[in-house]
Amino acid sequence: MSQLGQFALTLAFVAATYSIIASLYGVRRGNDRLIASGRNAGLGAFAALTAAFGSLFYLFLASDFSVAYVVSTSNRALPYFYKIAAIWGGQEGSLLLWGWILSGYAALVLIQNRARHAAMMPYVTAVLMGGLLFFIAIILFVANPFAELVRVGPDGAMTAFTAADGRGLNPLLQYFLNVIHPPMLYLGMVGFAVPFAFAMGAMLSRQLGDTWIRTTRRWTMVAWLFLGTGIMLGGLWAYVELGWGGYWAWDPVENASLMPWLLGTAFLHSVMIQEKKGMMKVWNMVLVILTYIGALFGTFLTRSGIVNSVHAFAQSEIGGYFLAFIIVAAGGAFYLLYDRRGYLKTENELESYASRESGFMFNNLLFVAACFAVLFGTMLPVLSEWFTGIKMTVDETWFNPVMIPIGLAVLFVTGVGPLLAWRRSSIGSLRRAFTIPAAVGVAASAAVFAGGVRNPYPLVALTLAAFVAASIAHEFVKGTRARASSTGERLGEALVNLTLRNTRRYGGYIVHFGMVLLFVGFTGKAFDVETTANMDLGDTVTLRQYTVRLDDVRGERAANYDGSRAVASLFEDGVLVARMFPERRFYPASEQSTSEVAVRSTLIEDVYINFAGTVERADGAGLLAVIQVFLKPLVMWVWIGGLVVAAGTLIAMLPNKRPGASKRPPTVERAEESHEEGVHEDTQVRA
Amino acid sequence: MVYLFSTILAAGVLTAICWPLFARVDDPRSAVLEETEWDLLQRKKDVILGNIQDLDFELKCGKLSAEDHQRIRNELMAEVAEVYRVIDRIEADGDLDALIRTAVAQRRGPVAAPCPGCGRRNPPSNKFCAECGHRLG
Amino acid sequence: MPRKQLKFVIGPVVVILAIVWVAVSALDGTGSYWQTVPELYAMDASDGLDGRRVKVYGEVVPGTIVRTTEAVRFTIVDLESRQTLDIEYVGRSPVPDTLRDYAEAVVDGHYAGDGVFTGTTIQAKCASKYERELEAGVITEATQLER
Repeated sequence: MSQLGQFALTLAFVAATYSIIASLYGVRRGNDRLIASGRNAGLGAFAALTAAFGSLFYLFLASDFSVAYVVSTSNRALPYFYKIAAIWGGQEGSLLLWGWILSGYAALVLIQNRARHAAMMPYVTAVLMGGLLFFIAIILFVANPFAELVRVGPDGAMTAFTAADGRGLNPLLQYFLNVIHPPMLYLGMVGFAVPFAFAMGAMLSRQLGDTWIRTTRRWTMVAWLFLGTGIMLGGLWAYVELGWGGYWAWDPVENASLMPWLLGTAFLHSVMIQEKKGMMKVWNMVLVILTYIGALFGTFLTRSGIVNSVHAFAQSEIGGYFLAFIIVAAGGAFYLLYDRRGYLKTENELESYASRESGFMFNNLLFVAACFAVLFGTMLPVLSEWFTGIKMTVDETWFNPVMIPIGLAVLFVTGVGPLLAWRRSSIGSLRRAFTIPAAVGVAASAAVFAGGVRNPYPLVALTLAAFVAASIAHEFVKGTRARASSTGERLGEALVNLTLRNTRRYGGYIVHFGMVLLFVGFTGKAFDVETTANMDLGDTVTLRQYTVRLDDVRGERAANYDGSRAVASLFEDGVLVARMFPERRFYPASEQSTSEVAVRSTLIEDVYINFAGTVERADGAGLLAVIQVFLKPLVMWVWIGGLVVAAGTLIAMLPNKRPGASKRPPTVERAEESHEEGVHEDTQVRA
Repeated sequence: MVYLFSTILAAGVLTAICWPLFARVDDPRSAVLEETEWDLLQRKKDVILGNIQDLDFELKCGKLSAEDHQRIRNELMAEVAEVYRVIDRIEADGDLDALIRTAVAQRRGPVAAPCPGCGRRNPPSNKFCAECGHRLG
Repeated sequence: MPRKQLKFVIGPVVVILAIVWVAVSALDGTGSYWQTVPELYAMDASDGLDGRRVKVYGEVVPGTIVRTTEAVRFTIVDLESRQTLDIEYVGRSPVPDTLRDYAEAVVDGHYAGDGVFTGTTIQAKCASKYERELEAGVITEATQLER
């Protein structure tokens, strides 16, 4: 099967190369046959990579230990479910997954647009295939998952051999979320290649109206949703699997996925300005390019080992190739942008700071600044070594004081921006829009202060959260009422129709609300408490109103690990509320241990117990269990917020519901309803 | 088994690539531009109309004062009126037909002819070169 | 740029400068040096450490790990220079299981110049048997193989 994989990779390489040449030559010659052939070659590359991925899948399920990569991330006793995760448990398989997903996106784009955007598509094909070609080349020549295992004899002679068993998947990755977390992340990172390809296609074909921007915005939303979901799942994985009680550590690998997300967020906002006002055209182009470069750079960061990380991916030579590719892609894209700047002239100018436009500007500024701050912190070891010769690193003690104010400013703009009118807001308008949300914010602030919170950051965060939540609620209430009064619908019906008629706006508000919940969850971190105790059976440890009693420690044997499972009783104010089973596991195949924490979540706080290991008693008579207990307020809101963000994004991706054809037949006079935004049938405009 | 799979895969991909090279092309479209000046104006008109609807809705929701609403609405109406004027002019002049003709005529040629002034390739819908302003024929 | 638009440049510039200022000033006191054992000694000799946090890394010398109730002591060695450093770990979190003989350890803490490095967090990574065999060249990978 490894020969099939190898052959399929080679075939994909040839198909992608041909696709680039045929598309570009075809468009130059105006030869539709050649263009169609190039497109089919792109589909062929997808088919070939599917076969390659399929054969790797087979090799893992069949535990073929003549293949080096299978040996390095799998073993016989690994449950089948984790054998799937093991496919992308190492570098070679991750890259193949990247390439396969990219070819899948490309195939979707090519099929979806086979009869559309004829002038642009050959270039889009070429750009997508160019990116794909790079990945296939890396997989084929540098990090080949189908390479065979070889034993080197004393005389240097190489002989193939099949290992008796594999070395196993890193036990930290043996968690059910980890089967979906990396694919989600890759679907997000790779997805940004599509907007990039359309941006390049638009510039190359000089079709810089709104075709590309509409297509690009949709695909960016898709990628953004996947990436956000991937990041959340990563946070959840870190929370329950790494055993230190947090979901985010500003680890380089985490930052690598956050940076493109921040840039994508900026783009999703500023694209509205371009659609509605014809402004920020060059800037949007820059954002699309940077988002893709950010995704590539993120992959480079995690794969090159240039920055040390707890994820500890193997260092490898692919870093250099990645860097070269990034430089070529960025250089080409920015040169093209410079060359085509004449097509991207702004149609309007900013009129006032108190305007929606300015809100968008500051939103963009903050997101991009946040991205660069993360980049700076992540790359500091490399930067400081270049400039001073001393390698310097920063951890959350630097990231938190820098990122929290930026985050709060973003939250502030989230609330203020949508309340401002387009063009400019007079004092009268500001008063109307701000009175209620601001009053709610002030009330919340007083309540939180009265509740004993004196720490400035949580105080400000909760105040802003209340302000933003109130402004969103206000928006829905006013909108529903206005719609109900003009259409005669009942309130519930009006609310649903309001949302479905303008999914982007109201879906967007739901996303904002999810963000508010996330910030509430983040705030909880300021109130974390923890304790560690070396406990014998029957011992108790108390933290605030909770008491944990260690009842038992049982040995447990599974196919691929040996575990010891603690049985702990959790008492709240002396009342038994839960039995918890934190676990310690040793995986012989990879010679590593992991903690399986036990968490009791409520909307108020999580009780998080980690069985961190054992120590010998002072008198040498047996072992004590090292039990860490964390109290983590409001963590649940992080996950709920993430779900709300995802739900809002899904709503925003729905096509707008058109006014019912049964009520009013479409007429030429109502051509304006073809406009995607703000279709409210209560207005008739004809100049 | 492996060889069988490989052969089927290779044959399939090759067929997909070669098929269009020999197929009849009924509807050549590589040179048809979607974004003629007229298209862009139509969309601009839609956008401004949408903005006016949004503005009215925001007034109804009490997000801005009546004075702001009236002032901004007047500005938008003036803008959309201007767009309508240009569209009407293009349609009256028969420029629209001309645009379509150019696009169709160019369907087998390169996407854009080079500018006689500076050599830049412009969209066929452009009357003047975007780089040097030279009149395009 | 028209003068009217100039005032819209000032706001963003102020925001950017504020963020840059926060980012740079936060570096004092939070940044830690990332050093090998000889680099640590060299900087200590030139009084460059100045009480700053340091992350030092090296391989755990076999047989040196001693656990007591208050602390865990062990020695790391820089593989190139063979210089060693004694570590006393006093952090709150339990020592990771991966801290074993020959493990690659990264210790975050302070060095006062007295020959003992006080660590507050430890990351340790053990090479698996597979990685050790790859390292030693006993096994390798190949795409084209004569059978």
